[in-house]
Amino acid sequence: MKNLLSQNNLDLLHEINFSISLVEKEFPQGLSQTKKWVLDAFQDLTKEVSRNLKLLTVCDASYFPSIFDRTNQASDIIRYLSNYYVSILHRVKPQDAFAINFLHWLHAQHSQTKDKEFIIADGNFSIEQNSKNPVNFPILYRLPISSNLRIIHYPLFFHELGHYLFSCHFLELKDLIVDFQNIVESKFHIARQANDAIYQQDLRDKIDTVDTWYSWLEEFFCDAVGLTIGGASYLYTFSHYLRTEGRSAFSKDFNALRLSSHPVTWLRIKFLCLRAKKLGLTSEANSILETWKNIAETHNITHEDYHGFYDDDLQEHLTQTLDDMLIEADPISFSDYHNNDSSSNYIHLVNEAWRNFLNDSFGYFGWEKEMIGNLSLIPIEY
Amino acid sequence: MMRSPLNISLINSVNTLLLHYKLLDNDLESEFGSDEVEFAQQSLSDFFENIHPYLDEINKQHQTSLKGLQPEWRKFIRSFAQAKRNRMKYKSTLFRKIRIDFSETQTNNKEALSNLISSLNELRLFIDEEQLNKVNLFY
Repeated sequence: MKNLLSQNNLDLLHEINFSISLVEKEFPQGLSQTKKWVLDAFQDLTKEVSRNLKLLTVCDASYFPSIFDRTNQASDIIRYLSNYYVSILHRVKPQDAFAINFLHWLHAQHSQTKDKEFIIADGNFSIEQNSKNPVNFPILYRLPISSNLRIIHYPLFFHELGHYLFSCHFLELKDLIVDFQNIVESKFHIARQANDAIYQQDLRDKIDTVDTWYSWLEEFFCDAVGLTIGGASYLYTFSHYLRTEGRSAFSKDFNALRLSSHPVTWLRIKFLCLRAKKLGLTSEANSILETWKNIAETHNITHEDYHGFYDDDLQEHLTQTLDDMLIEADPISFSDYHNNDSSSNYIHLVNEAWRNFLNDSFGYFGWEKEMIGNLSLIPIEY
Repeated sequence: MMRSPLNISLINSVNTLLLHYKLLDNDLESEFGSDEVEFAQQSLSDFFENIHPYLDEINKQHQTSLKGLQPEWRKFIRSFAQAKRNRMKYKSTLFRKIRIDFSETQTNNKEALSNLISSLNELRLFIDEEQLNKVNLFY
Protein backbone atom coordinates (compact mmCIF):
# COMPACT_ATOMS: atom_id res chain seq x y z
CA MET A 1 0.00 0.00 0.00
CA LYS A 2 2.81 2.40 0.88
CA ASN A 3 4.42 1.86 -2.51
CA LEU A 4 1.10 2.19 -4.33
CA LEU A 5 0.27 5.49 -2.61
CA SER A 6 3.78 6.84 -3.21
CA GLN A 7 3.57 6.07 -6.92
CA ASN A 8 0.18 7.69 -7.30
CA ASN A 9 1.13 10.82 -5.39
CA LEU A 10 4.37 11.18 -7.39
CA ASP A 11 2.37 10.85 -10.59
CA LEU A 12 -0.08 13.50 -9.34
CA LEU A 13 2.77 15.95 -8.81
CA HIS A 14 3.70 15.52 -12.47
CA GLU A 15 0.07 15.99 -13.56
CA ILE A 16 -0.05 19.22 -11.56
CA ASN A 17 3.19 20.55 -13.04
CA PHE A 18 2.09 19.78 -16.57
CA SER A 19 -1.29 21.43 -16.00
CA ILE A 20 0.40 24.54 -14.59
CA SER A 21 2.61 24.77 -17.69
CA LEU A 22 -0.51 24.74 -19.89
CA VAL A 23 -2.29 27.45 -17.92
CA GLU A 24 0.71 29.77 -17.66
CA LYS A 25 0.01 31.71 -20.83
CA GLU A 26 -1.86 34.87 -21.69
CA PHE A 27 -5.66 34.79 -21.54
CA PRO A 28 -8.49 37.07 -22.51
CA GLN A 29 -9.10 39.66 -19.82
CA GLY A 30 -12.44 38.08 -18.89
CA LEU A 31 -10.67 34.88 -17.87
CA SER A 32 -7.61 36.28 -16.10
CA GLN A 33 -9.19 35.89 -12.64
CA THR A 34 -10.03 32.27 -13.42
CA LYS A 35 -6.46 31.60 -14.52
CA LYS A 36 -5.16 33.00 -11.22
CA TRP A 37 -7.64 30.87 -9.25
CA VAL A 38 -6.61 27.70 -11.08
CA LEU A 39 -2.89 28.38 -10.57
CA ASP A 40 -3.45 29.03 -6.84
CA ALA A 41 -5.51 25.84 -6.59
CA PHE A 42 -2.67 23.85 -8.13
CA GLN A 43 -0.25 25.38 -5.61
CA ASP A 44 -2.50 24.17 -2.78
CA LEU A 45 -2.76 20.74 -4.37
CA THR A 46 1.04 20.56 -4.73
CA LYS A 47 1.33 21.13 -0.97
CA GLU A 48 -1.30 18.50 -0.30
CA VAL A 49 0.29 15.83 -2.48
CA SER A 50 3.78 16.60 -1.13
CA ARG A 51 2.41 16.21 2.38
CA ASN A 52 0.93 12.81 1.48
CA LEU A 53 4.40 11.74 0.31
CA LYS A 54 5.97 12.98 3.53
CA LEU A 55 3.35 11.24 5.70
CA LEU A 56 4.09 8.00 3.90
CA THR A 57 7.70 8.21 5.03
CA VAL A 58 6.90 8.69 8.73
CA CYS A 59 3.63 6.83 9.29
CA ASP A 60 2.75 3.17 9.79
CA ALA A 61 0.00 1.21 8.03
CA SER A 62 -2.74 2.43 10.41
CA TYR A 63 -2.54 5.83 8.68
CA PHE A 64 -2.94 4.43 5.18
CA PRO A 65 -6.78 4.59 4.95
CA SER A 66 -6.72 8.35 5.60
CA ILE A 67 -3.78 8.92 3.24
CA PHE A 68 -5.62 6.81 0.66
CA ASP A 69 -8.71 9.05 1.02
CA ARG A 70 -6.63 12.18 0.65
CA THR A 71 -4.87 10.79 -2.42
CA ASN A 72 -8.28 9.93 -3.86
CA GLN A 73 -9.61 13.45 -3.14
CA ALA A 74 -6.54 15.12 -4.61
CA SER A 75 -6.72 12.92 -7.74
CA ASP A 76 -10.41 13.73 -8.18
CA ILE A 77 -9.87 17.46 -7.94
CA ILE A 78 -6.70 17.51 -10.06
CA ARG A 79 -8.45 15.59 -12.83
CA TYR A 80 -11.59 17.69 -12.54
CA LEU A 81 -9.56 20.89 -12.82
CA SER A 82 -7.53 19.40 -15.63
CA ASN A 83 -10.53 18.05 -17.58
CA TYR A 84 -12.47 21.28 -17.46
CA TYR A 85 -10.63 24.35 -16.27
CA VAL A 86 -7.20 23.61 -17.74
CA SER A 87 -8.42 22.26 -21.05
CA ILE A 88 -10.86 25.15 -21.53
CA LEU A 89 -8.27 27.77 -20.62
CA HIS A 90 -5.72 26.05 -22.83
CA ARG A 91 -8.06 25.89 -25.82
CA VAL A 92 -9.88 29.20 -25.55
CA LYS A 93 -10.44 30.67 -29.02
CA PRO A 94 -11.41 34.08 -30.41
CA GLN A 95 -14.90 32.69 -31.16
CA ASP A 96 -15.42 32.36 -27.40
CA ALA A 97 -15.15 36.12 -26.97
CA PHE A 98 -18.87 36.83 -27.25
CA ALA A 99 -19.82 34.32 -24.55
CA ILE A 100 -16.99 35.44 -22.27
CA ASN A 101 -17.91 39.10 -22.69
CA PHE A 102 -21.61 38.37 -22.14
CA LEU A 103 -20.98 36.55 -18.83
CA HIS A 104 -18.28 39.00 -17.77
CA TRP A 105 -20.84 41.81 -18.17
CA LEU A 106 -23.61 39.85 -16.42
CA HIS A 107 -21.28 39.11 -13.50
CA ALA A 108 -20.25 42.76 -13.28
CA GLN A 109 -23.89 43.81 -12.78
CA HIS A 110 -24.29 41.72 -9.59
CA SER A 111 -22.49 42.34 -6.30
CA GLN A 112 -22.42 38.56 -5.69
CA THR A 113 -20.52 37.86 -8.91
CA LYS A 114 -18.63 41.01 -9.82
CA ASP A 115 -15.33 39.46 -8.70
CA LYS A 116 -16.35 35.85 -9.27
CA GLU A 117 -14.23 33.71 -11.58
CA PHE A 118 -15.98 31.68 -14.26
CA ILE A 119 -15.35 29.43 -17.20
CA ILE A 120 -17.47 28.11 -20.07
CA ALA A 121 -17.46 24.45 -21.07
CA ASP A 122 -19.28 22.69 -23.89
CA GLY A 123 -22.59 21.02 -23.06
CA ASN A 124 -26.25 21.72 -22.52
CA PHE A 125 -27.04 25.10 -20.94
CA SER A 126 -26.31 24.55 -17.27
CA ILE A 127 -24.18 25.54 -14.35
CA GLU A 128 -22.08 22.86 -12.73
CA GLN A 129 -23.32 22.46 -9.20
CA ASN A 130 -22.23 19.31 -7.54
CA SER A 131 -19.94 18.06 -4.84
CA LYS A 132 -16.92 18.83 -7.01
CA ASN A 133 -18.02 22.32 -7.85
CA PRO A 134 -19.19 24.12 -4.74
CA VAL A 135 -19.67 27.81 -4.34
CA ASN A 136 -15.96 28.58 -3.75
CA PHE A 137 -14.90 27.24 -7.17
CA PRO A 138 -14.97 29.41 -10.31
CA ILE A 139 -18.45 29.03 -11.79
CA LEU A 140 -18.49 26.46 -14.58
CA TYR A 141 -21.19 27.30 -17.12
CA ARG A 142 -22.03 25.01 -19.99
CA LEU A 143 -22.98 26.32 -23.40
CA PRO A 144 -23.83 24.13 -26.40
CA ILE A 145 -21.27 24.79 -29.11
CA SER A 146 -24.14 25.25 -31.58
CA SER A 147 -25.50 28.07 -29.38
CA ASN A 148 -22.12 29.80 -29.06
CA LEU A 149 -23.06 32.53 -31.53
CA ARG A 150 -26.86 32.38 -31.15
CA ILE A 151 -27.84 35.53 -29.25
CA ILE A 152 -31.46 34.44 -28.76
CA HIS A 153 -30.28 31.45 -26.69
CA TYR A 154 -28.19 33.51 -24.27
CA PRO A 155 -31.01 34.47 -21.84
CA LEU A 156 -30.82 30.89 -20.55
CA PHE A 157 -27.65 32.02 -18.76
CA PHE A 158 -29.86 34.27 -16.60
CA HIS A 159 -31.51 31.13 -15.23
CA GLU A 160 -28.12 29.53 -14.62
CA LEU A 161 -26.92 32.59 -12.74
CA GLY A 162 -30.00 32.06 -10.56
CA HIS A 163 -28.50 28.78 -9.33
CA TYR A 164 -25.39 30.61 -8.20
CA LEU A 165 -27.47 33.29 -6.44
CA PHE A 166 -29.40 30.48 -4.77
CA SER A 167 -26.14 29.07 -3.39
CA CYS A 168 -24.89 32.48 -2.29
CA HIS A 169 -28.11 33.27 -0.42
CA PHE A 170 -28.89 29.78 0.74
CA LEU A 171 -28.87 30.65 4.45
CA GLU A 172 -31.44 33.42 3.92
CA LEU A 173 -33.51 31.33 1.51
CA LYS A 174 -33.57 28.21 3.64
CA ASP A 175 -36.36 29.38 5.97
CA LEU A 176 -38.52 30.32 2.99
CA ILE A 177 -37.93 26.88 1.47
CA VAL A 178 -38.80 25.12 4.73
CA ASP A 179 -41.97 27.23 5.12
CA PHE A 180 -43.09 26.30 1.64
CA GLN A 181 -42.28 22.61 2.15
CA ASN A 182 -44.39 22.76 5.33
CA ILE A 183 -47.31 24.06 3.26
CA VAL A 184 -46.88 21.23 0.73
CA GLU A 185 -46.78 18.74 3.59
CA SER A 186 -49.93 20.16 5.19
CA LYS A 187 -51.84 19.80 1.93
CA PHE A 188 -50.88 16.17 1.43
CA HIS A 189 -53.64 14.13 3.04
CA ILE A 190 -53.26 10.49 3.85
CA ALA A 191 -56.65 8.90 4.24
CA ARG A 192 -55.79 5.64 5.97
CA GLN A 193 -54.34 5.60 9.45
CA ALA A 194 -53.77 1.88 9.83
CA ASN A 195 -50.07 1.14 9.85
CA ASP A 196 -50.28 -1.22 6.90
CA ALA A 197 -48.42 -1.45 3.60
CA ILE A 198 -50.72 1.06 1.89
CA TYR A 199 -50.26 3.58 4.67
CA GLN A 200 -46.48 3.09 4.55
CA GLN A 201 -46.48 3.69 0.80
CA ASP A 202 -48.62 6.82 1.19
CA LEU A 203 -46.24 8.07 3.83
CA ARG A 204 -43.28 7.38 1.53
CA ASP A 205 -45.04 9.30 -1.28
CA LYS A 206 -45.71 12.21 1.05
CA ILE A 207 -42.08 12.41 2.19
CA ASP A 208 -40.82 12.18 -1.39
CA THR A 209 -43.27 14.86 -2.55
CA VAL A 210 -42.11 17.27 0.15
CA ASP A 211 -38.42 16.46 -0.52
CA THR A 212 -38.93 16.88 -4.28
CA TRP A 213 -40.09 20.44 -3.73
CA TYR A 214 -36.63 21.39 -2.49
CA SER A 215 -35.20 20.96 -6.02
CA TRP A 216 -38.35 22.24 -7.72
CA LEU A 217 -38.34 25.41 -5.67
CA GLU A 218 -34.76 26.08 -6.75
CA GLU A 219 -35.77 25.68 -10.41
CA PHE A 220 -38.83 27.92 -10.06
CA PHE A 221 -36.61 30.45 -8.32
CA CYS A 222 -34.06 30.34 -11.17
CA ASP A 223 -36.86 30.83 -13.71
CA ALA A 224 -38.03 33.86 -11.72
CA VAL A 225 -34.45 35.18 -11.69
CA GLY A 226 -34.18 34.59 -15.45
CA LEU A 227 -37.37 36.51 -16.08
CA THR A 228 -36.44 39.34 -13.72
CA ILE A 229 -33.10 39.82 -15.50
CA GLY A 230 -34.09 39.09 -19.07
CA GLY A 231 -37.74 40.19 -19.21
CA ALA A 232 -39.47 39.13 -22.43
CA SER A 233 -36.22 37.73 -23.86
CA TYR A 234 -36.09 35.07 -21.13
CA LEU A 235 -39.73 34.18 -21.60
CA TYR A 236 -39.25 33.74 -25.34
CA THR A 237 -35.98 31.82 -25.03
CA PHE A 238 -37.27 29.45 -22.39
CA SER A 239 -40.38 28.67 -24.38
CA HIS A 240 -38.55 28.43 -27.71
CA TYR A 241 -35.81 26.17 -26.37
CA LEU A 242 -38.12 23.73 -24.59
CA ARG A 243 -41.26 23.71 -26.69
CA THR A 244 -40.05 20.86 -28.90
CA GLU A 245 -39.40 18.62 -25.89
CA GLY A 246 -42.51 16.59 -26.66
CA ARG A 247 -45.10 14.99 -24.41
CA SER A 248 -42.78 14.88 -21.39
CA ALA A 249 -42.89 18.68 -21.26
CA PHE A 250 -46.56 18.37 -20.31
CA SER A 251 -46.93 15.18 -18.39
CA LYS A 252 -44.84 12.71 -16.43
CA ASP A 253 -45.92 9.81 -14.25
CA PHE A 254 -45.59 9.87 -10.48
CA ASN A 255 -42.37 7.90 -10.37
CA ALA A 256 -40.71 10.14 -12.94
CA LEU A 257 -41.64 13.14 -10.80
CA ARG A 258 -40.59 11.54 -7.51
CA LEU A 259 -37.37 13.26 -6.33
CA SER A 260 -36.95 14.77 -9.81
CA SER A 261 -34.69 17.77 -10.22
CA HIS A 262 -37.01 19.81 -12.46
CA PRO A 263 -40.76 20.50 -12.38
CA VAL A 264 -42.85 19.69 -15.45
CA THR A 265 -42.04 22.30 -18.10
CA TRP A 266 -45.70 23.24 -18.67
CA LEU A 267 -46.00 24.18 -15.00
CA ARG A 268 -42.85 26.28 -15.25
CA ILE A 269 -44.31 28.05 -18.30
CA LYS A 270 -47.50 28.79 -16.33
CA PHE A 271 -45.55 30.35 -13.46
CA LEU A 272 -43.29 32.29 -15.79
CA CYS A 273 -46.31 33.74 -17.57
CA LEU A 274 -48.06 34.60 -14.30
CA ARG A 275 -44.98 36.51 -13.20
CA ALA A 276 -44.48 38.07 -16.64
CA LYS A 277 -47.98 39.54 -16.49
CA LYS A 278 -47.19 41.06 -13.10
CA LEU A 279 -44.11 42.62 -14.70
CA GLY A 280 -46.18 44.20 -17.45
CA LEU A 281 -45.36 41.64 -20.15
CA THR A 282 -49.01 40.70 -20.66
CA SER A 283 -49.13 40.34 -24.43
CA GLU A 284 -45.88 38.35 -24.46
CA ALA A 285 -47.17 36.04 -21.72
CA ASN A 286 -50.51 35.52 -23.46
CA SER A 287 -48.78 34.65 -26.72
CA ILE A 288 -46.56 32.07 -24.97
CA LEU A 289 -49.54 30.53 -23.14
CA GLU A 290 -51.39 30.27 -26.45
CA THR A 291 -48.37 28.58 -28.08
CA TRP A 292 -48.18 25.98 -25.31
CA LYS A 293 -51.93 25.39 -25.43
CA ASN A 294 -51.57 24.64 -29.14
CA ILE A 295 -48.68 22.24 -28.54
CA ALA A 296 -50.68 20.48 -25.81
CA GLU A 297 -53.53 20.02 -28.26
CA THR A 298 -51.10 18.55 -30.79
CA HIS A 299 -50.24 15.92 -28.19
CA ASN A 300 -53.95 15.47 -27.43
CA ILE A 301 -53.39 16.64 -23.86
CA THR A 302 -56.50 18.27 -22.47
CA HIS A 303 -55.78 18.76 -18.80
CA GLU A 304 -52.89 19.17 -16.39
CA ASP A 305 -52.07 16.39 -13.95
CA TYR A 306 -49.15 16.68 -11.58
CA HIS A 307 -50.04 13.59 -9.53
CA GLY A 308 -50.32 15.43 -6.24
CA PHE A 309 -46.98 17.20 -6.57
CA TYR A 310 -48.78 20.40 -7.49
CA ASP A 311 -52.28 21.67 -7.09
CA ASP A 312 -53.70 25.13 -7.78
CA ASP A 313 -54.04 25.55 -3.99
CA LEU A 314 -50.29 26.06 -3.99
CA GLN A 315 -50.23 28.81 -6.62
CA GLU A 316 -50.51 31.76 -4.28
CA HIS A 317 -48.06 30.32 -1.75
CA LEU A 318 -45.53 29.51 -4.44
CA THR A 319 -45.79 32.96 -6.00
CA GLN A 320 -45.33 34.64 -2.62
CA THR A 321 -42.38 32.39 -1.73
CA LEU A 322 -40.67 33.20 -5.03
CA ASP A 323 -41.30 36.92 -4.50
CA ASP A 324 -39.64 36.68 -1.08
CA MET A 325 -36.73 34.66 -2.47
CA LEU A 326 -36.14 37.28 -5.17
CA ILE A 327 -35.98 40.01 -2.54
CA GLU A 328 -33.20 38.09 -0.78
CA ALA A 329 -31.21 37.31 -3.95
CA ASP A 330 -31.79 40.73 -5.54
CA PRO A 331 -31.00 40.05 -9.22
CA ILE A 332 -30.87 43.02 -11.61
CA SER A 333 -34.11 43.88 -13.38
CA PHE A 334 -34.53 44.14 -17.14
CA SER A 335 -36.64 47.27 -16.61
CA ASP A 336 -33.53 49.15 -15.42
CA TYR A 337 -31.77 48.38 -18.71
CA HIS A 338 -34.66 48.97 -21.04
CA ASN A 339 -33.80 52.35 -22.44
CA ASN A 340 -30.05 52.03 -22.51
CA ASP A 341 -29.04 50.76 -25.93
CA SER A 342 -25.28 51.13 -25.49
CA SER A 343 -23.27 48.41 -27.17
CA SER A 344 -22.37 46.81 -23.85
CA ASN A 345 -25.95 46.49 -22.60
CA TYR A 346 -26.54 42.79 -23.14
CA ILE A 347 -30.09 42.83 -21.76
CA HIS A 348 -31.04 45.36 -24.39
CA LEU A 349 -29.19 43.23 -26.96
CA VAL A 350 -31.02 39.96 -26.21
CA ASN A 351 -34.40 41.70 -26.23
CA GLU A 352 -33.50 43.42 -29.50
CA ALA A 353 -32.45 40.03 -30.89
CA TRP A 354 -35.86 38.57 -30.06
CA ARG A 355 -37.67 41.52 -31.60
CA ASN A 356 -35.68 40.94 -34.80
CA PHE A 357 -36.17 37.17 -34.76
CA LEU A 358 -39.94 37.45 -34.24
CA ASN A 359 -40.29 40.14 -36.91
CA ASP A 360 -38.16 38.41 -39.53
CA SER A 361 -36.89 34.95 -38.58
CA PHE A 362 -35.07 34.52 -41.92
CA GLY A 363 -33.44 37.92 -41.99
CA TYR A 364 -32.48 37.71 -38.32
CA PHE A 365 -29.34 35.66 -38.83
CA GLY A 366 -27.62 38.36 -40.89
CA TRP A 367 -28.31 40.90 -38.16
CA GLU A 368 -27.04 38.48 -35.52
CA LYS A 369 -23.79 37.81 -37.39
CA GLU A 370 -23.10 41.52 -37.65
CA MET A 371 -23.83 42.10 -33.94
CA ILE A 372 -21.64 39.20 -32.84
CA GLY A 373 -18.82 40.46 -35.09
CA ASN A 374 -18.97 43.92 -33.55
CA LEU A 375 -19.32 42.75 -29.97
CA SER A 376 -16.62 40.10 -30.17
CA LEU A 377 -14.12 42.80 -31.03
CA ILE A 378 -14.77 44.96 -28.00
CA PRO A 379 -13.05 43.89 -24.80
CA ILE A 380 -11.09 40.79 -25.79
CA GLU A 381 -7.52 41.56 -24.83
CA TYR A 382 -4.70 39.06 -24.96
CA MET B 1 -8.21 28.87 4.99
CA MET B 2 -11.41 28.20 3.07
CA ARG B 3 -9.65 28.84 -0.24
CA SER B 4 -8.09 25.44 -0.88
CA PRO B 5 -10.10 23.27 -3.27
CA LEU B 6 -9.72 20.41 -0.79
CA ASN B 7 -11.35 22.26 2.08
CA ILE B 8 -14.85 21.54 0.95
CA SER B 9 -15.56 17.92 1.66
CA LEU B 10 -16.59 16.36 4.92
CA ILE B 11 -14.20 13.43 4.42
CA ASN B 12 -11.28 15.79 4.02
CA SER B 13 -11.91 17.47 7.37
CA VAL B 14 -12.34 14.06 9.01
CA ASN B 15 -9.00 12.87 7.63
CA THR B 16 -7.18 16.09 8.48
CA LEU B 17 -8.18 15.65 12.12
CA LEU B 18 -7.68 11.90 12.13
CA LEU B 19 -4.13 12.20 10.82
CA HIS B 20 -3.35 15.18 13.05
CA TYR B 21 -4.54 13.51 16.28
CA LYS B 22 -3.00 10.15 15.45
CA LEU B 23 0.37 11.82 14.88
CA LEU B 24 0.04 13.59 18.24
CA ASP B 25 -1.10 10.39 19.94
CA ASN B 26 2.03 8.66 18.63
CA ASP B 27 4.22 11.58 19.79
CA LEU B 28 5.02 12.55 16.21
CA GLU B 29 5.04 16.06 14.84
CA SER B 30 1.81 17.05 13.11
CA GLU B 31 2.08 17.87 9.42
CA PHE B 32 -0.99 20.13 9.65
CA GLY B 33 -0.92 23.83 10.43
CA SER B 34 -3.04 25.19 13.28
CA ASP B 35 -5.25 27.05 10.79
CA GLU B 36 -6.00 23.80 8.95
CA VAL B 37 -6.80 21.98 12.17
CA GLU B 38 -9.00 24.80 13.48
CA PHE B 39 -10.84 25.01 10.18
CA ALA B 40 -11.49 21.25 10.16
CA GLN B 41 -12.62 21.31 13.82
CA GLN B 42 -14.95 24.22 13.28
CA SER B 43 -16.45 22.91 10.05
CA LEU B 44 -17.03 19.45 11.51
CA SER B 45 -18.60 20.89 14.67
CA ASP B 46 -20.83 23.14 12.56
CA PHE B 47 -21.80 20.27 10.29
CA PHE B 48 -22.99 18.14 13.21
CA GLU B 49 -24.68 21.10 14.85
CA ASN B 50 -26.58 21.66 11.61
CA ILE B 51 -27.70 18.06 11.20
CA HIS B 52 -28.50 17.47 14.89
CA PRO B 53 -32.10 18.80 14.72
CA TYR B 54 -32.82 16.61 11.70
CA LEU B 55 -31.48 13.52 13.45
CA ASP B 56 -33.68 14.38 16.46
CA GLU B 57 -36.64 14.62 14.11
CA ILE B 58 -35.90 11.21 12.58
CA ASN B 59 -35.44 9.80 16.06
CA LYS B 60 -38.94 10.99 17.03
CA GLN B 61 -40.59 9.99 13.80
CA HIS B 62 -38.68 7.41 11.78
CA GLN B 63 -40.26 8.36 8.44
CA THR B 64 -40.20 12.10 7.99
CA SER B 65 -39.29 14.60 5.30
CA LEU B 66 -36.09 16.58 5.75
CA LYS B 67 -36.96 20.11 4.74
CA GLY B 68 -34.57 22.77 3.50
CA LEU B 69 -31.82 20.30 2.71
CA GLN B 70 -30.05 19.42 -0.51
CA PRO B 71 -30.30 15.74 -1.57
CA GLU B 72 -26.71 14.83 -0.51
CA TRP B 73 -27.29 16.00 3.06
CA ARG B 74 -30.66 14.24 3.20
CA LYS B 75 -28.93 11.00 2.19
CA PHE B 76 -26.18 11.53 4.76
CA ILE B 77 -28.65 12.20 7.58
CA ARG B 78 -30.86 9.20 6.77
CA SER B 79 -27.82 6.90 6.56
CA PHE B 80 -26.34 8.36 9.75
CA ALA B 81 -29.62 7.85 11.64
CA GLN B 82 -29.63 4.23 10.53
CA ALA B 83 -25.97 3.74 11.48
CA LYS B 84 -26.62 5.30 14.88
CA ARG B 85 -29.08 2.50 15.62
CA ASN B 86 -26.39 -0.09 14.85
CA ARG B 87 -24.80 -0.01 18.30
CA MET B 88 -22.82 -3.17 17.69
CA LYS B 89 -20.88 -1.52 14.90
CA TYR B 90 -20.81 2.17 15.79
CA LYS B 91 -19.93 2.55 19.45
CA SER B 92 -18.09 5.87 19.61
CA THR B 93 -19.21 9.03 21.41
CA LEU B 94 -19.98 10.72 18.12
CA PHE B 95 -22.56 8.12 17.14
CA ARG B 96 -24.09 8.16 20.63
CA LYS B 97 -24.23 11.93 21.22
CA ILE B 98 -24.04 13.34 17.64
CA ARG B 99 -21.51 15.77 18.95
CA ILE B 100 -17.80 16.03 18.46
CA ASP B 101 -15.79 17.58 21.29
CA PHE B 102 -12.33 18.99 20.63
CA SER B 103 -11.98 20.96 23.85
CA GLU B 104 -10.16 18.31 25.88
CA THR B 105 -7.55 17.65 23.23
CA GLN B 106 -5.71 20.80 24.39
CA THR B 107 -5.06 19.33 27.83
CA ASN B 108 -2.92 16.34 26.81
CA ASN B 109 -5.71 14.10 28.07
CA LYS B 110 -4.78 10.78 26.43
CA GLU B 111 -8.19 9.23 27.07
CA ALA B 112 -10.00 12.17 25.43
CA LEU B 113 -7.63 11.94 22.48
CA SER B 114 -8.23 8.23 22.14
CA ASN B 115 -12.04 8.76 22.27
CA LEU B 116 -11.80 11.44 19.64
CA ILE B 117 -9.72 9.21 17.35
CA SER B 118 -12.33 6.43 17.78
CA SER B 119 -15.12 8.80 16.79
CA LEU B 120 -13.23 10.05 13.75
CA ASN B 121 -12.25 6.51 12.73
CA GLU B 122 -15.88 5.39 12.86
CA LEU B 123 -17.03 8.47 10.97
CA ARG B 124 -14.43 7.82 8.26
CA LEU B 125 -15.50 4.19 8.02
CA PHE B 126 -19.18 5.17 7.85
CA ILE B 127 -18.55 7.72 5.07
CA ASP B 128 -16.47 5.18 3.14
CA GLU B 129 -18.92 2.29 3.48
CA GLU B 130 -21.96 4.41 2.63
CA GLN B 131 -20.04 6.03 -0.27
CA LEU B 132 -20.74 9.48 1.09
CA ASN B 133 -17.31 10.88 0.33
CA LYS B 134 -18.83 13.46 -2.05
CA VAL B 135 -20.76 15.14 0.77
CA ASN B 136 -19.62 18.72 1.18
CA LEU B 137 -19.43 20.66 4.40
CA PHE B 138 -21.17 23.66 2.96
CA TYR B 139 -23.86 24.32 0.49
